[in-house]
Amino acid sequence: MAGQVVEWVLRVLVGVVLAAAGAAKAFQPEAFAVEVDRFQLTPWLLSLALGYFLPWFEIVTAIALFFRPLYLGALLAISGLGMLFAVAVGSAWWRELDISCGCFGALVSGRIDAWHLVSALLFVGVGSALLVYHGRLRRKAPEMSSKPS
Amino acid sequence: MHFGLSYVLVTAVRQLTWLVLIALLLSTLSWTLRKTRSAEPLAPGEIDLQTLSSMRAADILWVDARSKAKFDSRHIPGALLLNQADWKALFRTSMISGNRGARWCSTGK
Repeated sequence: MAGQVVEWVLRVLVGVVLAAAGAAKAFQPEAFAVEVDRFQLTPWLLSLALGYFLPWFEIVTAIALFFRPLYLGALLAISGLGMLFAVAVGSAWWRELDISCGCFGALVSGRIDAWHLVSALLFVGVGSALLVYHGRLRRKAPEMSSKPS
Repeated sequence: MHFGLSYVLVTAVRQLTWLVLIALLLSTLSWTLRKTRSAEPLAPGEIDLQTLSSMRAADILWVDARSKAKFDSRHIPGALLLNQADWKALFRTSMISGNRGARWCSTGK
């Protein structure tokens, strides 16, 4: 019971953050592509493609957190997004790039700092923990697998 | 890795594929709609490509705000490198004429 409550709270928190982040960037993809390009990890065309793709991926993932047939995929996506973000932020921090995160588009213009790296790792942790949780549920009672409450 | 987690991961990968496909579809729609939309009005101080091409090359100084690596890779002939990372060093050595219109470039290849 406690596990289910914690799971629901995490789903709501992560879902709201992802949906807000995606919505803030989905209608200004070129601006987000510039933010991605500033990390100096990808060529411009790939930055532009990510500028269009990532915000919609965040929105779809946020919705999938509350849609049973895609719930586990959403958890894996959260871990993947967190990992991607951690690598990008860690790389920028290591190279001392003076750039903004771009996480919420033009809504928030904070410079990259340790908090962004911690947030990214939290996403990885939440996604992975919930996947392991469902793996254990599945092992205990196979008929209850992949059943978000 | 026990059976339960293996099953969950395999299922998660399959579902993630669907999420990626849906997001690809939406982003492609977004790109298509933006390209077919009519051009946005220019803000004060902005000019379009047609106006730029009618100006004399001698009247324009291109200031490139990208990284040195991208600037060395390819840049507009005659452009001046002046980016945020090396601002102090580059600004000291740059010469920007006040009589010419400076145009800033901070995106692109």
